Amino acid sequence: MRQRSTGRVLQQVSGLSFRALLIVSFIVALGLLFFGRGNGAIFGGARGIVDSVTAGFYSFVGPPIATGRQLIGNAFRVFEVYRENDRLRAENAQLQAWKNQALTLQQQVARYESLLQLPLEPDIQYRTGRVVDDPGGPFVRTLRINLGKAEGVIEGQAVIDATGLVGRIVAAGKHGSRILLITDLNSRVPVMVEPDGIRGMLVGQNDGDPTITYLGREAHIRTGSEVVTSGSGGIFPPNIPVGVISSVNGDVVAVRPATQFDRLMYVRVLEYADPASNVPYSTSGPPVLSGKPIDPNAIAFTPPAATAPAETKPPAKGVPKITTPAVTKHEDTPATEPSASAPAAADSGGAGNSDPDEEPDNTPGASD
Amino acid sequence: MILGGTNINPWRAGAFLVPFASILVAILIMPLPIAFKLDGFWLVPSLPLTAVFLWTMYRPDLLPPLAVLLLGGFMDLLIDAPMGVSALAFLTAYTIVLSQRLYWMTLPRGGILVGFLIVMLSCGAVSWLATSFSFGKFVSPMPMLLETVISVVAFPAIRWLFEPLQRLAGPAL
Repeated sequence: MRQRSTGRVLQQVSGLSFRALLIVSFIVALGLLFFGRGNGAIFGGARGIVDSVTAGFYSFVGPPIATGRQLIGNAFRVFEVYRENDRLRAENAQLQAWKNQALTLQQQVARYESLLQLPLEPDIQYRTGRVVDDPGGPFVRTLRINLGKAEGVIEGQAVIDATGLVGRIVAAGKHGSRILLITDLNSRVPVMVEPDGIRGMLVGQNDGDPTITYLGREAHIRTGSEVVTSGSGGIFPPNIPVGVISSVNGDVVAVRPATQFDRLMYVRVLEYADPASNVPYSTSGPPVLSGKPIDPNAIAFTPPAATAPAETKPPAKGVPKITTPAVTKHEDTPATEPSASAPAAADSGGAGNSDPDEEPDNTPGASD
Repeated sequence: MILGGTNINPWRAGAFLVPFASILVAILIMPLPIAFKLDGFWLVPSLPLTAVFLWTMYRPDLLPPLAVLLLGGFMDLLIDAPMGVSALAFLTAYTIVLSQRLYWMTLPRGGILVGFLIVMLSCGAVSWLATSFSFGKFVSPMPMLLETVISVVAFPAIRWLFEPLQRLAGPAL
């Protein structure tokens, strides 16, 4: 057998010296970095393939490890159980009182809605998926779930868990998808601070709590205020809990997310279509509805008594309702897929988007 | 020449596959829920970089630069990092270790740990700069520093785990 060094073998096979191979590798890596900057979507297909190939492995290996980790964590927390139990009993008693109050208010709201002839709120279907791994490196905050295009998941869909907003789908493979968490540096979510309804843009910071930007100068934010999605942009349904204001330091308003990302096991992918996005836009001239130009003067507040019957009204843009038992789409109410420009709109809602309430450009061809 | 003068047969069955496969496994392990969170930061050592360090240190003949590039690219795709960041970090580690390995080998066991710390800090700096460039703004270096500390702490254990694999691949150069 011939005894040769790897360097010589590589040199003979490739025709390049070892040093040249190293330099070429560096150039390729730098090229990927420069080429990928601002063109992240170019590698979306490759990421989708990697997701599909590895989804089976992570679905198989991930859950037992997650369970084991949880067991270890629980073992450390066993001493806190009694104290936690007492706290929960007290909280439960308080919540019972709140529940009765909420039920009364719910009936009141239903009565007022009926009096005002408000249009029905659109239902939101969802699919439940399991978190299979946490692929994010030191500078990325993402999660992967075991639902993909084959299960009807597409890019741009909002993802929630039992406590609040988790993020949105940024890449969908065949049987797996990636969620960009709201804590990621590239995440932008239009939000509203309760109870005053102050709107802003939630921006992920990678480390620590995300912050709200684009708040009005006159905005007075208090620590402990609840933050919900505003629904602007049409990606995220309105009024999904996001978190609470954890600190206010000058212009920096930090939000403590409602979701505990390190304990996520199951999430819901929402099939939400902004009712306003059903209105087709023409590429030139005024927006059209059913082929007829809209008279700007006709878009005005109409007193409740003069409103048209519910079935002839435009789609409601009220608070959507998340239907609890539905996991798959109803046959008679097919969910409208978000427009192709929707994910791009959420992406562009970052540093370059100065208006958090700006609607995405749904103009056909605008993304071309 | 570092790689010259060897008298082993590189075509021995599977020898080339062992480093590639072990680094690939280290990459695949990273997304698994093995990390613990402390004060908002994930505590997990960088297994792939440690694997690249160990293989380059002891068997560079079995790890060509193109394999390092491929593995880095795969990791970027897997962890959703900006393309090229992990590849640059891996190649940085590869280059530093290749240039210093003979000197580090003359040092006692602790000397290699210092070498590993230098490599981790250099790769962390490269990753941080590349990610900041890709995102268009400076990201916090804290995750990288934490990863470096955890990786250095875990290095002896990871090295111990890799020893059987390196024996499998053959004697060190």
